Amino acid sequence: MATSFHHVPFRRLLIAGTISSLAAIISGGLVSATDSGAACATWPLCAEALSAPLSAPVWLAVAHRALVLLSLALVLAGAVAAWQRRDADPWLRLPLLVAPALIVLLSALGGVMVQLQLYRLADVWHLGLALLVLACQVVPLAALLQPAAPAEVRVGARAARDSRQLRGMAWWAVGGVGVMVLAMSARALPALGVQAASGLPVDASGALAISGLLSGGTLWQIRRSRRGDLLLLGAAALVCVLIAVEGTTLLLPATQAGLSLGVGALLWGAAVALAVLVVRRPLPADLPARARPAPVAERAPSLLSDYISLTKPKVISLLLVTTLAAMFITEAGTPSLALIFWTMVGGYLAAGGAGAINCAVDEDIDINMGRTSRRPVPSGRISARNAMIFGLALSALSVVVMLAFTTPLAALFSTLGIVYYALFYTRWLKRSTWQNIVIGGGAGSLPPLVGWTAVTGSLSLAAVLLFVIVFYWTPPHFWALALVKQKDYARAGVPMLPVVAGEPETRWQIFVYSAMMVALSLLLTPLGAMGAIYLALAALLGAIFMRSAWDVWRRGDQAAIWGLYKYSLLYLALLFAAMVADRLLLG
Amino acid sequence: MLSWTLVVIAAIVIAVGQALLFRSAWRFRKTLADLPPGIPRSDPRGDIAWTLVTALGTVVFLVFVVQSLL
Repeated sequence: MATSFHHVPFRRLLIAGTISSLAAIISGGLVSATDSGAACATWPLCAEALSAPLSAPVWLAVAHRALVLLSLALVLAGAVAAWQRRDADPWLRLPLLVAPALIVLLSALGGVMVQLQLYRLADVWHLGLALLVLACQVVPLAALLQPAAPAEVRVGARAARDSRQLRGMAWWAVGGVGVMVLAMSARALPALGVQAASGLPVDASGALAISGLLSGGTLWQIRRSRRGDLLLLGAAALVCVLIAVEGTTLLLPATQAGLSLGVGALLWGAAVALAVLVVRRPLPADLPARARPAPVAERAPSLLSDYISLTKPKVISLLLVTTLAAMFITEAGTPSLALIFWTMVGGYLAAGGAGAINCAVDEDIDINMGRTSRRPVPSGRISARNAMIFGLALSALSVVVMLAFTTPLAALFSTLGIVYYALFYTRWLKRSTWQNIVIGGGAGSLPPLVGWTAVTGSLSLAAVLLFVIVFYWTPPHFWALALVKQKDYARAGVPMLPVVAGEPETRWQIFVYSAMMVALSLLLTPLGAMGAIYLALAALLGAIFMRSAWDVWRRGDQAAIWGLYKYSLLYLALLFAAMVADRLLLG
Repeated sequence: MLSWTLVVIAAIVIAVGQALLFRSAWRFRKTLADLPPGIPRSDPRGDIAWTLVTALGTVVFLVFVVQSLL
């Protein structure tokens, strides 16, 4: 039974385990900051401790090992207690059962560090395991102090949704804080190459900003949905204050970054405890009763899928293909996996943020168009205000991610893309001129520049040509869609070319833009950026494109128009794939 | 030789294409007066300016391409 854990000795055991884990991490930070690890060349015992006189580094190393040993004993005692209570609350039992394996791994890694003298490189992973051990003590302690809310309590749909959001935010904040503590510690690593090998962000300030945003978001969400819960508010405020204090340790020299571990470990423990409390604290009692579930046939998409759809994932996927391909074809060679990952994350956040802002601003247009009327904002499932806040938050996060993990120029282009699409195109161009698609195409042309500059940190003529190709690709692609949906656009009052100038003019301009795009796409070879493989494939893909555009111009039926629209999607993806193939095969 | 051939072809296609687009934008100054109800009428001078900006941007880019080959 869960109550079997509520004995005073068990609670004391957990408190002692938490304190000893904290002390072990702090002492480890001191060992790292003072470079004392090498003072004890043997493991697990320290032979140097028996020789006189004892130096301060030896004392530190011995004290750290003693504290780890004490933690191990307490963790094992907790695990035995958990093992004996098979029907106990999983929040108490599972972390305690996992902890011994982690601490054994941690000790073994410590041994490897000493034996192979990999003090620096293994340091980050050593710390990562230590943080997990601490979490395995904090989670049951917090769960013990805060019994789970009764499952039979029924709350309104909105309160349940807010609660889900808060839980998600709190656990994301835990992840952000964990990465930040590791990144702050990794500052001590001697060289950028070694820092990169740790797999952590080189720029600790970026990780600090991300965890600050996530924890600030958690505090904001608690204030919004759990206003009367002073314990949660206090805990979330404490996490934010500790992040601010941790930020001040950036002023320390990089070699003494281990000194920030005291605050970092406290912060980590507080963030984990907050997440557990968020999950287990009961919801306010004065909320309306849960609404009757809608019949399956009428059930609306989940809130999560609505928010994801605000980011327009289908559109983004093609943008990210151009970003990814551009990263592979620079003169700098194949990028690292970490750089690819963060550029994709930043790119998705930027494009998704801009898309969400577009959904918020275009509510009046979307509601009048069959294609868009079922989007979350026009259908009333998400308010325009919330969509705007979501879009702005994603955009801000994208700037932080791009700045922290890529290059300033990539961050600049990514931000420019958000402003171009969300403000320049959505707010103004789209509603004011039939040239909206032509000039607005600049926003969708920026992702290749983001990918290119994320790798190289600078622009080149070949990168600009990628921009130009996508720029000229945009009118044939979107005007094909506008030809099919022109009644929708007319009803919504959007001055698209087919609405303003008619079908024949649009079909003819599609052909003209297609010809210019295909001609420009061949220039990557004269520029020396691509070889014969690309030239042949680009010519072949371009010829098919021209054939489709010709059909649209001369025949103009729905089959030809849909054919061009679909092929244009495939064309762009294949063209950029051809670039990557050329670069990988011909070098 | 192949490089120059491709650049010349691209330059010709761009020159002809942009000239045709400019002619359209110029023609639209008057013909687009009667629009369906609810559709905003754009400033004709602005439309022509956008067409010119696109054309000039592309020409400048082509100049850089040619310069890189010299």
